[in-house]
Amino acid sequence: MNESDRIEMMRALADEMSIEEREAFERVLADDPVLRAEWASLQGVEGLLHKSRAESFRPFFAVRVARRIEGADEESLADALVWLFRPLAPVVLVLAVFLALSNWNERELVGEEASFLEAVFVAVPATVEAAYVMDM
Amino acid sequence: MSERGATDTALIDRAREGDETAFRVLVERYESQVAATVVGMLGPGDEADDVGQETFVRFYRALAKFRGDAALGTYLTRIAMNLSLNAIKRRQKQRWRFWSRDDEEKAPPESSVDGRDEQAAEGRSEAVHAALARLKPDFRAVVVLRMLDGYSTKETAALLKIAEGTVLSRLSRAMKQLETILKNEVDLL
Repeated sequence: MNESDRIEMMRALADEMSIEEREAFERVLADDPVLRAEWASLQGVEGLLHKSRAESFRPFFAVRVARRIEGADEESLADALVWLFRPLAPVVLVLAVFLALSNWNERELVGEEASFLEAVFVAVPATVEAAYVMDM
Repeated sequence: MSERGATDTALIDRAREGDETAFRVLVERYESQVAATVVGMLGPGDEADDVGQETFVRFYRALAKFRGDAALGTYLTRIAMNLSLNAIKRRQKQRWRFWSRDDEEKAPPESSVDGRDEQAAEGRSEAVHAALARLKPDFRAVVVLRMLDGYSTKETAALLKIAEGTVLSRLSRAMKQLETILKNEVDLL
């Protein structure tokens, strides 16, 4: 059996043949036992596929969809906030750099021996001695 | 008119206005059709459920733009098919990354032989889905649309954006492969 015969069988299976084509197909089937066996087998596969067709998802599918849509709405709110604040990001970055440089220039506030990070964040060392000095 | 008896167009209009009940009725009305497509493509399980949900979420987001040029069932089938094919690609990437065997490579389970109808039907269904999973995604898509969803050759060709001859050719080869698997490996034919 060649590819062309198989394609004809697919058309017959789908009931997409004209009356004349269908009659011709049935005549060929009647004369060819190999084709007839193939046709019966094909109908068997079709039957199994139909019986195995899923009719639903797990129970409460519609509820899960609704919950997911609510979640999607929350996501879109987050997206909206990102969209709103994104243009401010460069300004905030410039301000942060300016403050860091300013703190670095005035590092005597935390002591000349302070590390770079301590100076930039004006982080006074948390030691007992420092606490004592602050208390005085 | 009750929600159950309302037309798709009426329900879509109401859903656009924020009527959650109308949208839920649409989900319930088309769950079966989307399930046939997604489960046919991916097999039963969490992934199929997830893709099914995502299909309706996409539809919900597109409600404002949905003009009804295609029947709602066809529109949802197209989304479901695209998402299923994407999920299969993701699986293939993961398989490549972790070098592990996934569902597509699993041998179909043995059919049930204990005589209990329900279990036998379940075993048969599992075997058929496992056999479907062994087809190439392009071939599987044709079988699912044509044989499970009941679309005509012309509609299947339009949904997959391929020629009708290609649909018939792929269907013919896919059905032969299924026949071989179901006959020789699980003795279902």
